[in-house]
Amino acid sequence: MRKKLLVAGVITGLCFVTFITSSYQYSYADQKKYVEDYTKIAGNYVKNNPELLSKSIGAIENKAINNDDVVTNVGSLPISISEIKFRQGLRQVTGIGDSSTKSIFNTLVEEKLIFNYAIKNNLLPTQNEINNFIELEKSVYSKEEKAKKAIDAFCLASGMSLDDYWNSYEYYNAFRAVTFKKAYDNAIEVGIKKGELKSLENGNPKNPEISKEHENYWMNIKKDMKNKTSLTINKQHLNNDFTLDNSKLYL
Amino acid sequence: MKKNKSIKYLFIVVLTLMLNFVLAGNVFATDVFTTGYTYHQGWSPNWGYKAYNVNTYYTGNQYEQSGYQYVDGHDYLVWISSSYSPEISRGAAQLGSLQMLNTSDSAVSTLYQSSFSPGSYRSFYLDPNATYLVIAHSYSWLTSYSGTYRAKVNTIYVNCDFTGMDGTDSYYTPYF
Repeated sequence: MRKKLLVAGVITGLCFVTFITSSYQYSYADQKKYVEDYTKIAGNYVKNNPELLSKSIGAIENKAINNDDVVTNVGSLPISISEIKFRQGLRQVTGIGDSSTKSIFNTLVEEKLIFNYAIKNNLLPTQNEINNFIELEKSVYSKEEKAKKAIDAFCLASGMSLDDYWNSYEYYNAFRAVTFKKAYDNAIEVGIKKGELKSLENGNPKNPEISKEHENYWMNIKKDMKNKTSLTINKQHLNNDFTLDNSKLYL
Repeated sequence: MKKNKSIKYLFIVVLTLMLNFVLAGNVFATDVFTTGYTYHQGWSPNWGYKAYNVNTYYTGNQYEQSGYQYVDGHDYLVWISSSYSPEISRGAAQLGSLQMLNTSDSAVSTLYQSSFSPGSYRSFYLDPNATYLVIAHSYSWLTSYSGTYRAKVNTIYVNCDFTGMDGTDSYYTPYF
C-alpha cells in the first residue's frame, strides 16, 4: 500500500512538473513576438479599418474633410477624428506606445505644427522626393530578407498588394518623414545662417555635440510653436480627452 | 684600443635594447581593432517598418610585458547613418562588455561601460551625416598571462519606439 502511494506520488509530481514546464514554455513562446508578428497585427487592423487609412492619407494631403470629422484646426490644418482613431488603433492593437487619447492628440498636434512650418517655408515634399524615399525603402525590402518578411506579413494580413503597401500605408509614413526632415534641415540651416548654430564639418571631432545642439534647437522651435498654439475643440468631440499639453513634446 | 671602444659601444647599445625588452615591453605595442555593423529592424505605430545599420568600431593598444599580456588605450564608437529627422527615434547604445578571450573563447578579463569615459583617446574622422550614439575611451587594462588572445566587444542597442529593434551585437578583433 505504501509502495503504491509512493508511486502515485511520484507520478503526480512528474505530471505537475511537466505541466509547469510546458505552460512556462507556452507562455514564453506566446510572449516572444517578432517584427512580422507586429506588422501582421497592424496589417489586420488596416484591413478591418480601410477608411481610417484613406482618410489619414487625405488629411496629410490636405483634402477636404467633413466638418463632423474635424476635431480641431492647427493653424490651417484640421485634425480629423479618423486620423486620431487610425493612430490610436495601431498603438492599441500592437500594444506599443501610449495609446491614450491625450497622447495621440498631442502627437498629431505637433505633427500638424511641423506641417504648418513646412507650408509657411514652402517645404512640402514633391512627389519626386516621396518617390525617392520610397525607392530607398524598396531597395531595403529587396536586399534584406528580414525586411521582406515583415512587410510581406503586413501585406498578407491587410490584403494589400505590395504596390498598394508602398502607395498607401508607406506613402502616409513617407510623406510625414520627408516633410519632417525637410523642416528640420531648413530650421538648422536658418539657425546656422543667423549665427545661432555651428555647422557640421567633415571630420570635426565636435560633430556629435553640434548634432545635439541642432536637435535641441529644433526641439525649442517645436516647443515655441506649441506654446503659441491655442486650439478650439469642435463641440461634437468635447467629451473626449483632447487636451493640449504644453508641458512636454510627444513626438 | 679603437676596436675595444667599438665593442664597448656595441655592448651598451645591445644592453639598452635588452633593457627595453625587459622593462618596457610596450615599446612594441600594436593596435588591435574590429569594426562592423548589424541590421536592426523594427516596427512603430507612428512610422511603420524602419531599420538602421548600427555600426561599431573598437580599437585597443595591446602589448606584452613581464610575462603578461595587456590591452589598454581603448576607443569605442557606435553610430548610425539616419536620413530621418529626430522625430523618428535613432535609439541608444552602450557597451555591453569588452572581453579578452583565450583560444577556447573563454573570457579571461572583462571591462564594462563603467570603466569608460566620454570622448576618444585617438583622433577619428567623424562623419557629419552620422549620428554617434557612443564615443568613449578607457585606459583600464584587459590583462592575463602572456598567450594568444582576441578581444570581443558587445554593443547593446535599444530603440523603445520600434518593437523588435533592440539587440546585442558582437565583434571580434583578430588574435594577438
